Amino acid sequence: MAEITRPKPGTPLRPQLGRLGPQGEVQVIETPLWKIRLRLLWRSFQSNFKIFLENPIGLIGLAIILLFAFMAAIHPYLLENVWNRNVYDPVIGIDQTITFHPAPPSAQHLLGTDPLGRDVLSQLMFGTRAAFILGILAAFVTVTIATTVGALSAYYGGAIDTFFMRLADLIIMTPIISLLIVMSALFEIGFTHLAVIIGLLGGLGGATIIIKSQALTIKVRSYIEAARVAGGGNAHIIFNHIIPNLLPLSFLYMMFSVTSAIALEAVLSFFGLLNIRMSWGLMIFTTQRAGYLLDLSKWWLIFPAGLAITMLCAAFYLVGRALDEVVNPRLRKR
Amino acid sequence: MDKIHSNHEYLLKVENLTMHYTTRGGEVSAVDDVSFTVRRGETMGLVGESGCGKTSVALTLLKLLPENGIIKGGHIYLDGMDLVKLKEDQMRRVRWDRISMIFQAAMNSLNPVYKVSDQIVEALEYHNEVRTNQEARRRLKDLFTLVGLEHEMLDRYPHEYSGGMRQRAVIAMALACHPDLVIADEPTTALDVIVQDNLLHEMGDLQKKLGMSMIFISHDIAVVAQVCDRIGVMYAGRMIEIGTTEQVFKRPLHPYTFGLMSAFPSIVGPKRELATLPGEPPNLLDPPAGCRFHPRCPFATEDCKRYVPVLRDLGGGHFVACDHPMEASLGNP
Amino acid sequence: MRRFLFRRIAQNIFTFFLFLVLVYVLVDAQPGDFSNVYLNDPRLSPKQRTILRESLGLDKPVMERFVQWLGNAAQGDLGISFSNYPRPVLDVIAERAPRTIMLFLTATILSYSIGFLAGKILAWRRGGFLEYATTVTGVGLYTVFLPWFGLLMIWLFSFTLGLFPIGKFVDPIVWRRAPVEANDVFLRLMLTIFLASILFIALFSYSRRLNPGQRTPVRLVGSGIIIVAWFAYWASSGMGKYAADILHHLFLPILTLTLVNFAGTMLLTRNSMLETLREDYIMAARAKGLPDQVIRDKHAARNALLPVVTSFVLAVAFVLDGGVITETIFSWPGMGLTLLEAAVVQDIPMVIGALVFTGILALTAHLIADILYAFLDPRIRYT
Repeated sequence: MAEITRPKPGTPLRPQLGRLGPQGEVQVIETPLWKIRLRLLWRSFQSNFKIFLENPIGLIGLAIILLFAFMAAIHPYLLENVWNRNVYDPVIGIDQTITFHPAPPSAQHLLGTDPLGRDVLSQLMFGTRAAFILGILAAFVTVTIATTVGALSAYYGGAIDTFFMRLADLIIMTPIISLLIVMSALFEIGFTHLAVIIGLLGGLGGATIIIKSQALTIKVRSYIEAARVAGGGNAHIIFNHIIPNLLPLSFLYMMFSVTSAIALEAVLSFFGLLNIRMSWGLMIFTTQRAGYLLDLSKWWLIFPAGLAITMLCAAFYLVGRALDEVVNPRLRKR
Repeated sequence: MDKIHSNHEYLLKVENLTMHYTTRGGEVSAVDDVSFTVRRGETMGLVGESGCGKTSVALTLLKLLPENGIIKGGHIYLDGMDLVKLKEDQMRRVRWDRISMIFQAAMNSLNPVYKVSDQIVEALEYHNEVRTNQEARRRLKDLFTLVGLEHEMLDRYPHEYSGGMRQRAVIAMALACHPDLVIADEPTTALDVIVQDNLLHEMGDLQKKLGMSMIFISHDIAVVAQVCDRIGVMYAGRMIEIGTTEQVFKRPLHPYTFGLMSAFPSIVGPKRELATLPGEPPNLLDPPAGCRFHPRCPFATEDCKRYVPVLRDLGGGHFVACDHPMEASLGNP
Repeated sequence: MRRFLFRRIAQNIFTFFLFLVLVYVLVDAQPGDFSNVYLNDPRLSPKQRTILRESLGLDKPVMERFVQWLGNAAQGDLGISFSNYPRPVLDVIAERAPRTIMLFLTATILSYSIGFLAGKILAWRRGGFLEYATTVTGVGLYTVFLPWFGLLMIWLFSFTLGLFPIGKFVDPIVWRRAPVEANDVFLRLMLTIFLASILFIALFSYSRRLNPGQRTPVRLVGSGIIIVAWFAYWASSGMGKYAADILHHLFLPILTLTLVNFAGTMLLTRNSMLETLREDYIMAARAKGLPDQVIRDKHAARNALLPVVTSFVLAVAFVLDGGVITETIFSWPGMGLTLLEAAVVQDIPMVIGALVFTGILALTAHLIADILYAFLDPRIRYT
C-alpha cells in the first residue's frame, strides 16, 4: 500500500505528480508542473499545426502574411543601407532628379513616385509595418477584452452578463465606419488611439458573445466542478481553467480582428480623417487630393496600395478560416 | 403506379443481395449475399446486433444509399420486378408508393419548418394519390384517425407534438400512399415501454386491417417476438437464420441465434443460467474468412474458417447458414 | 407572435434611445464646443462670446442640452445644417434618406438572393473546379478593399467600356429642361417598385392555396402582368427617360455593393446546406421518392436559410458601412455621403441628424430580420 502523507494544515496546496515505485512507495516526480504543461502545449500545437497544414487555404494565407512581414522587416534595412534616405523616405523623401511627379515606374522607382515625389514602393513597405502593428495591436486589445469579458459574463451571469450582452448587441448594430468617421472628424485620432478604439469596439462587440457561449460550455464541464471541490477559488477557476480553454477561439478571433482593423484604418485614411504619417489608405487619399483618383494612366498610385490592403486582409481571413477548422472539428472535410 | 395483385408467390423476394460502402480505409462489406422473402400480409422481423447490416438492408431495398454505397450484386424482386435494375427516376415512383419506411428515431424524420399535414400531402401529390386539395384533406383525416391522432394536430408543427404522437404521425406518413410494404426500422426504440407496448399493438392491428406487409427491424428480441410472423437473424452483414417466430425462438439452429435467445431472461418458466456471447462482432472492412461467426463460435471447426456456409432449409421453412447447427431446444415460452 | 413583436419593438426603442444619448454625448465631447464655428471670429470680445454662448444655451450641462435637443427632435426640429444653410437638417434628411434606403434595400435583397441561390447550387454539386473557383472568387470579393474595388468598377465599366456614368445622381444634360424634380421622379420610382413587390408577394402567397396543377401557370401569368404594367406606367407617364437616367446612375453603385456582399452569404449558405443535408428529414424526403430538386429547394434550403437570416442581422451594419463608402466613391448623394461631408466640415447638427437616421435604419433592418426569422422558423415564435 502506498503511504499517503498529509500536508501540514496551512500550507498552500500545490499539485504534484507522483507515481508508484517498484516497492509500492510513492515517488514524487520532480519535474515542475509548468514544464509538463509546456510539453503538452507543444504536442497539441504540433498536432493542430498538422491539421492546419492539410488545408491549402491556411497555407496560402500564411505565405502571404510571411511575404508582407518580410517586406516590413527589410524596409528599415533598405532605408539605412541601400537607399538614399533623402530620396526614398516614405514620408519626407523626394526625388528631385525627376521633373514631373507622379512619375511612372522606372529602374530607380520600381513602382513609380506619388504626386509629392515619394517612392511608392518604399511607401508600400512602410505601410506594411504600419498595417501589421495596427492590426496586431488592435487584435490583441480585442481578444484580451473579449476573452476576459466573455469568461466573466459566463461565470458570474446575472447583471454583468446582461449588461455586456446588451452592450454587444448595441455595438453590433452600429455601423462602425459611420461612427468612426464622426469620431475621427471631430477628434484628432492618431495611430495608437485608433488601434485602441478599434480594439475596444471589437472586443466588446460580437466576439464577446461567441466567446461567452464557448465559456458557458466550458463552465459546465466536470473538471470545473472538480476544481471547485478541490478548493479552487473563483479567480483560480476563471484564470487557470476557463480562460486557457478559450484561448484557441480567442486566437481565431485575433485573425478576424486584424482583418477588420486593417480595413477600417485604410478606409478612414482614405477619407483623410486620420492623423497618421503614412499608410496604404493614406496613399490613396493623397492620390485623390492631387486629382489623380480616376486617372487610369497613373495606375501605380492606386493599384499597389489597394491590392496590398486586399491581400493582407484576405491573408489573415484565410488563416482565420483554416484555424476555424482546427478549432471546430465539425468543419473539417471528411 | 398501379398496384395489381399479381400471382407471384412472394411480394418481396431478395436474392443474393450484396452491398458495399467505399471508405477511405477500404470497402466495407455491409450486406453480403443476403436472401429472404416476404409474403403479402406477412410481418418479417430482422434482428441482430448493432452494425450487423439490418438498416443497410433496409436502405438498399429502397436504394437510398449514400454516394459511397454500391450494390455489388443480387436482385430485389418486388412482385416480380427487379428493383436493382431500375433507374433512379423509376425507383422514385416505387418509393413510398409501394415500399415506405419508418426510420429509426422517427422524430427527426419530420422537417421542423413545415406543418405535418404539408409533409404528408407532398407525398400524396407527388405520387398522384390525390388531385384536389379537398381530396388531400380527406385522406389526411383518414390517416390520422387510423393512427389515433386528433385532426386538429394536422396543421401543427412537429415540435408541437409529443414523442409518441410524432411516432404516430410518422406512421401515418408512411401509410399515406397505401404501400404494399412498410419497413419499420426500430420504430419503438426511442419510446418508453408503455407507449411502446400500445404502439406495437396498434401497428399489428393496422397491418391486419390494411393487409400490407411489414419488415420490422429491431435489436430487441422481445419486441420482435410479439409482432412478427417470421424472423430473419443477421450477423456481420449476412443472413444466418430464417424461420417462423416459433421455430427461431423455440429451436434456434445457429449457434449465434442460440446465444441470442439464451441471453434473455424470461419471467415465466424455470430459472436457468444466462449465456453470454464472448467477443465482438467483426470489423466489416476485413471480415473473417469462411463463416463470419467462427471467431466467437464455441463449436467452430477448421472447415468453418474456410467455407462460407449457405442458407439451407432444414425442414418446415426453417433456414440456417451453418454447417454445424444446434440441436437442443430451449424452453422459451 | 404578437408578444414577440411587442417585446422586440420595445427593446428596439430602448436601444435607440441609448444610441441617441451616446451619439449626442460623443459628438458633444469634441474638444471645444460646437459654438466654435460661430464664435471663432476674433473680433468678438470674450464678454460677447460669453453672452452669445449663454443665449445659445451652450453653458448648460450636457444632459440638459440633450433633453432639449430630444424635445426639439420629437417635434421634428433637428436644427439647421451649417453646411447647407439655411436648410433645416430634417429637410436634407428627407431629401436624401429615400435614396440611401433604396440603395440599401436593393443591394441587400439582391446580394442575399443571389448569394443564397449560388450557395445552394454549390452545396448540391460538390467538388470539382467550380467549387474551388467560386470559393476563391467569393473570398476575394468578401475581403477586397471596397474603395479600391469601387474604383476598379468605375475604371472598367465607365471608362473602358463606357457603359455607365462615372458617378453622381443624374446627368445634368438630360435634365436641363425637365418639367419635374429629380427627387420626385426618384420617389415615384421607389413607390412603383415597392407596389410591384407587394403585388408579387401577394401573388405568390395566394397561389400556394391553389390546387397543384394551377399554381405555376398562375404565377407565370401574374408575374408577367405585373412587370408589363410597371413598364407601361412609366412609358406612358412621360417621365420615362428621366426615370431611366436615374436608374442608369443607380446601376453601378448597386452592382458594386451587391458583389461585395453576396460572397459572404454564398459561402455561409453552402456550409449551412451541407449541414442541413445531413439531417434525417432529408433522408426521409428522399425515401418519399421526391425529386432531388424538390428536396434541395423545399426541404433543405428552407432550413439552411435560418443561419443566413441570422447572419443578416449581424451584417446590417456592415452593409450600411459599405453603403457609405459606395456613395462616396460614386459621389452618389445619399445619407452616407452626407454624413461624411458633414463630418469633414464639422456641421454638427447635420452629423447628429445623419447618425440618427443611420441608427433608425439599422434598428429597423434588425427588427425586420428578427421578424423574418420568426416567420421562417416556427420553433421560435413562442419564446
